[in-house]
Amino acid sequence: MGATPMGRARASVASEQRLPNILVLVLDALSAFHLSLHGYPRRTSPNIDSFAEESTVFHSHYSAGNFTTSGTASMLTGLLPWSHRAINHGGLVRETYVRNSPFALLASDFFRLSFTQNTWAHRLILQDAEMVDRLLQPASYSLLTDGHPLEERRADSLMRSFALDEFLFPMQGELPAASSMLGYLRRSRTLRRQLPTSSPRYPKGAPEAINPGAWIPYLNEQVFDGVVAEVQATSMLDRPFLAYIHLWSPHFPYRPRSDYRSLFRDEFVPTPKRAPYLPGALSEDWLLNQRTLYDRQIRQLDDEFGEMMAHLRSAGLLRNTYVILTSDHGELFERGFYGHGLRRLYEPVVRIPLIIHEPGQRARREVWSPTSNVDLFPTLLSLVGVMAPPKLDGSILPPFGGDETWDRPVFSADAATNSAASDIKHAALCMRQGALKLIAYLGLPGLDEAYELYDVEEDPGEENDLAQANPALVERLRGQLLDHLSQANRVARSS
Amino acid sequence: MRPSTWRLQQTELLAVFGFAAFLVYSWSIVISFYELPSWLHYLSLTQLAAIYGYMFIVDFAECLLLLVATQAAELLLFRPLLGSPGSVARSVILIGVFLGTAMLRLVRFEYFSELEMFVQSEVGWWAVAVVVAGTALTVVHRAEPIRRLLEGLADRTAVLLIAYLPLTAIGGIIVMARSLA
Repeated sequence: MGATPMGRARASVASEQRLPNILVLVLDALSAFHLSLHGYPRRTSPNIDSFAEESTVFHSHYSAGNFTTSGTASMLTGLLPWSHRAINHGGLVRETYVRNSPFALLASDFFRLSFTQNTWAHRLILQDAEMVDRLLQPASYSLLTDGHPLEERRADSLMRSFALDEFLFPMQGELPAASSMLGYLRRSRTLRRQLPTSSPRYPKGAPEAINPGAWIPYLNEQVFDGVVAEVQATSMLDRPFLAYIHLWSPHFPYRPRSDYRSLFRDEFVPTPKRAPYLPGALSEDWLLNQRTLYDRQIRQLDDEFGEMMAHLRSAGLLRNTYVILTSDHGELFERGFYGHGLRRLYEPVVRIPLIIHEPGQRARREVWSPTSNVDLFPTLLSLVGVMAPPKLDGSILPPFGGDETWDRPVFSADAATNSAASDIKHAALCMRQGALKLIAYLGLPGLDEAYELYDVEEDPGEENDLAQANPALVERLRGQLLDHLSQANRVARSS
Repeated sequence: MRPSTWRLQQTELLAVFGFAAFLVYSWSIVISFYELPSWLHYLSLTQLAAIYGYMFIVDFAECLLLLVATQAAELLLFRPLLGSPGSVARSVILIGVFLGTAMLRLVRFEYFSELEMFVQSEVGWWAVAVVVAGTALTVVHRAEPIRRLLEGLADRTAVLLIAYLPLTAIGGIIVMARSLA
C-alpha cells in the first residue's frame, strides 16, 4: 500500500518548495471543438476560459490516438502509438518503454499521485505501479466506495487487476464473469448494495464510468471534492508533487446534473457533413440530441473545474504549481457517427484541449502551431530540469523551450485491430502538417487504401475533401506518412 | 440415520468435486477463449500465463466451496437420508442447478444497461431454481436409474481432474512467484 499523503506530512506549503508541483488533469473524451474557448458557438466553458486568461493555450493540439489507451499512452510516454504499441483497446505499453513515464523519471524528487477513473488508463499506470507513491483505484470517490478511496496492493497489481477485476469478477462487460460462482456472487452483492444509483440531483441516474469489466457510478461533485482533498493533502508533504488525475467525464454516457439539463435549448444546428468513407447511419436529430447532452456535461464539468481551481488558488497552490488541463481524445457527433475510436480521425475526435498554467502566471499566451500530446512528457521533464529519454517522438512545447514550427508533422493513429507485436497494416492514420491534414485508411475491410485531404486552417470543419482535386499533394503527404509508418514498423520489428 | 454415522466417502467426495470442477473450469476456459484473440494482440505469454494462473486458483477455490456447501446441505437438509445411496446425485443436482442458474443469469444480464434488471429479477430466478432443484431431488430419490445416471456423470467428469489439478498447481506457482517477485 502507498503511504497516505498525511502520513509524511510536514508543516510546509507548496510555495516554499524549490521545485514546482505538477498537476495534470485529464478530462476523458473532451473535444477542443466543444469548448467556447476554441470558438464553439455554445458557452460550454466559461471557467476554463477564465483559467486560460492566466495560462498558455494551445489551439491546434492533437491526441496521437482516438481512444483512451493509445491517446493516454502517448501522453505518458512521449511516443506515438506505433512506437509505444499500446494500440489495442485496453492494450499495454511495450515493456521497453514502461519507464518512459513522468512517474519513473521524476521519482527522486516528486511525490507521485495517480487517480484515474478509466480502467484502461489505470492499466497503463499499473504497468509500473511501484513508481507511484499514492495510487487510487478507479472506483475511488465513486458511489461504489461511499467516498472512501481504495488503494492498490502493489505486487503483481497489473495482472491481478486484469485477471480478477476485469475477467473473473467483472461488474459488467462484453462477456459474462469467468468465475461462475464467486463472480456471480460479487456482482449480485455489489449491485444490491448500490442500486439505485440515482440521486435527486441526477434524475437520469448518476454518471457512470462504463469501463470494461467495471461499472462505476459516481457524482462529479464528489469526485472533484476528492481530487481537491487529495491534492491539498499531497501539497503538505516535504516534496513537490506530480499528480495525474484522469476523470471519466464528459465521456459517454452523458448524464449532466438536473440543474444543467435545461441548458442549450437553442437554435444551434450543426452543418450536416458527409463521410467519404466509413459513413455512419445515425440521424442528424439523434446526433444533435447527444451533442447537447455532451455539451451540458461539459458545462457542469467546467463549473466543477472552476470550483476546484478556486480551492487551489485560495490554498496558495497556484503560486508553485503547474496546472495542465487536457484530454486523451475528443468526441464526434457528425457524419452519422458519435463517440470516438472506430477509425474516425476527424478534428473533433483528435483535437483536444491543452492549457498550461505556470506558477504565478498572470497573462495569457497563445500557441497556434500544431502540437501533439506526445510533446507533454518531454515538456514536463524540461520544466523541472530532468533529461528526456532518447528517441522520443515528442518535443518540448513552444513556449517552454521548444520552437514553434508550422511544418512539423503531427500524427494520430487508430490501429486497434493490429497485433501490438507485429507490423501495423490495418489502420486509420492522419497527419497534420501546416494547414493540411491527410487522413489515410489502410488495409481496412472493404477499404484497402483511401485518402481524405483537408485544409484545416481554411476549413476547420473538414467539409471540403481536397484529395480528388490534388492528387500530387496527396501523393507527397502519403509518402511522408507511410515513410514514418514503415520506419516505426522497422524499429518495432528490430526491438 | 444419526449424523454420527455419516462418513465422508473419499470416492463420493471426489466425484462431487470432479463434477463441480467440470462446470466451473469449463465455464472459465470457454469464457477465456472469447477473450484470448484480443489478449494475443497485446499480452505476452508470461502475462497470459498469469491470467490463467489466477483463473485456475479461483476455480479451485470455488470447487472447494461448492464441495463444502453440498456436504453442509447433506448434513442440514438431507439429514434423514444420511448414509443412504444418493448423496452424489443430490450434490450433482444442487451444484448443477446453482451454477446453471448463475451462469444463465450472467449470460442474460451482461451489460450495464441491464444491471438494474439483474437485481430486480434475482428473487424470481432463484425461486424457480429452488423449485427445479426440489423437483429434481424428488425425482432422483424415487428413480434409481436417474440417480445412477447422475452418479455416472459425476464419476466420468471427475476424470478431468487429471488435467485441472496439475494446471491449478502450476497456476499457484505462477501466482506465488509473481506476488513475491
